Amino acid sequence: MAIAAAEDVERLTGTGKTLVLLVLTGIEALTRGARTVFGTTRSLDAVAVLGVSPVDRVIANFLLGGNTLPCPTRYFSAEPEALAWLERKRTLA
Amino acid sequence: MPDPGHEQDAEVHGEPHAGAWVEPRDDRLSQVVEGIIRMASGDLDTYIPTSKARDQVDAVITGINLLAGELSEVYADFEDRVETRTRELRDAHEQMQHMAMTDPLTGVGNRSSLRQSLDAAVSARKDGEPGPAALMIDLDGFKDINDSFGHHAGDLVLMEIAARLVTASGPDTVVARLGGDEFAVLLPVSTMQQSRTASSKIMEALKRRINLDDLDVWPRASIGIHLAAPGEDASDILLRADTAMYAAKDDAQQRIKFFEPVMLYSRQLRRDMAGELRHAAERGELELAYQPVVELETGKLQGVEALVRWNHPVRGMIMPDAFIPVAEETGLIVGIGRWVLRAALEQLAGWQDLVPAEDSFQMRVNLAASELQSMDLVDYVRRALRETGLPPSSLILEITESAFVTGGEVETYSLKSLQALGVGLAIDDFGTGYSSISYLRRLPVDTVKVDRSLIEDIDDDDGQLRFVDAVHNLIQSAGMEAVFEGIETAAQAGQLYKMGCCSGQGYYFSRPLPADQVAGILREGHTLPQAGVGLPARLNPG
Repeated sequence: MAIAAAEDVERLTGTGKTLVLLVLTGIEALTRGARTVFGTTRSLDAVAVLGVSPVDRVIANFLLGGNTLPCPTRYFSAEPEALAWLERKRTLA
Repeated sequence: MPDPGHEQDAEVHGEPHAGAWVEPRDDRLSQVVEGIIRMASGDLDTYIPTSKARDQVDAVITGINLLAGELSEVYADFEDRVETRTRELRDAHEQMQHMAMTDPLTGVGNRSSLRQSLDAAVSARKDGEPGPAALMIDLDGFKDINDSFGHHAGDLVLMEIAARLVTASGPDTVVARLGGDEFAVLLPVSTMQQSRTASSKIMEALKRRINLDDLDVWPRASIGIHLAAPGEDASDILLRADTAMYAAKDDAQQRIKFFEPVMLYSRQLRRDMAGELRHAAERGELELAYQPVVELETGKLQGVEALVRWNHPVRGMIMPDAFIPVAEETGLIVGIGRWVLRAALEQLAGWQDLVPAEDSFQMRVNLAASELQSMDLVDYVRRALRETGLPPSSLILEITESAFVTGGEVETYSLKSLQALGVGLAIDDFGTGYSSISYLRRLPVDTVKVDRSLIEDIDDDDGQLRFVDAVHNLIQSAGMEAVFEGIETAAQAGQLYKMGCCSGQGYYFSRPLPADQVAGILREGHTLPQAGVGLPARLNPG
């Protein structure tokens, strides 16, 4: 699943900046494979992970922790803040 | 009874989520405890279930599950790595084992592997059955190949030889290179006939020409065989095969030899001889005999050649043929050579009163090639001449042809220095070396002593006579004098005289004599041969 999503992202990104809002909902577990795929995508410039519950927050940090991505990443529990952060990342770049 | 679940909800979940259906009893905490206990006992793949609430407790549970998963992966990774490392170590170990047992140049076995195989074959031998046979193979003249064509060519030859050995020896045999140009083949089980056949096959395979890029090599080998006797261990077997190989090397006719106990004895004899020879000079066991060199026309004594003998306390008089080779092998020849030189000059000084002043009388002393390699040879000669009060021209040093050919810079320096000193130099045994005619003129010598083999048949072989005549002319046109040695009959002497030769040496004139007899001839003014046979007048003055 992660690989398919990563391929979609690769397809969708053009030459411009790619800012991603990743919404985690209802994920129970994270396989190592998924983490690896996540860590190897190169074309992202900022990723905001949006979660709702404490579980999402734990999962998000497992995903983002350990220098998996070269671009800035952050967890949010509210969508407006996530979007505002992404906007800031776009202008900064 | 009040709904305990509801109250528990309040404790566990904090603010109850409006309208959310919560479990009557929230036993997640106990589930966590159970889960952690399972993980503690090693089951890292276990999974603690979460609820739909996705609250902080669920977050904790999710975290524990994820951490357990990580740990499990780390362990799996680690095991993988250990397995890979172990495999690599094992492979490396096997490779090292192989290298320890293999000759790096040719890829065949080495001494260790040979010994191992030999030990195994000895142990595996059944009573009454044939046992292992060891074949030791030595290449003749390999040093020449290295010297003439370089070590790279030498290496190629060795690789080719090894390949041929493997093919010729067949399956179930062990081929090993023992270093240098020595190879061995082990036949784990072999009768005498089988080992003889195998050796012949090997010999045939080795005789074929080896064709390298720009040169052809015809190898020649010597093979020593020993069939293991019961009770002999690997060392014994290899020693005997080796001894047989050395005996084969010495024998021009028979190059494949089986070990015989007497071979060990002659090897021991050589070793003993070397030990005794070391002290022979200082113990006064060496003596000189002098063979006259005669003017063919008049029979007058022109000089003598000093020949060394060994008066061994137990074995009696030993001729140079028997001990000079040992001396040369061991390097003792240098010490012996110097003794001979000194003793001969002292003897010549003793005869000075007897030599007519107007005549020249020269002492001829043999010099070995290895003596030329000594940097202080010239000093020694100079000092000996000075201390005996003799002019350098009274000494002639005879050096064999091969020493001139194979000599290097040190030898050339020695020769030129000796010539500059005024000492006469002569090529000995001329006609037996690998000399090229063109260099003859350039050699720093005055005299050429023609080997006896050239004049052996000049009595009845006209062709040989003409040949010797041509050789004589060649020597003379190179500006040198010729002395013919090995003259045994009046006829030979006559032929040579007719040819215009001046000097000769040989049994016809006189055998080697002790000093006092020489003194007698000088004192009485005798001519040789003492039977008084005159030589016919020369028809064509030379």
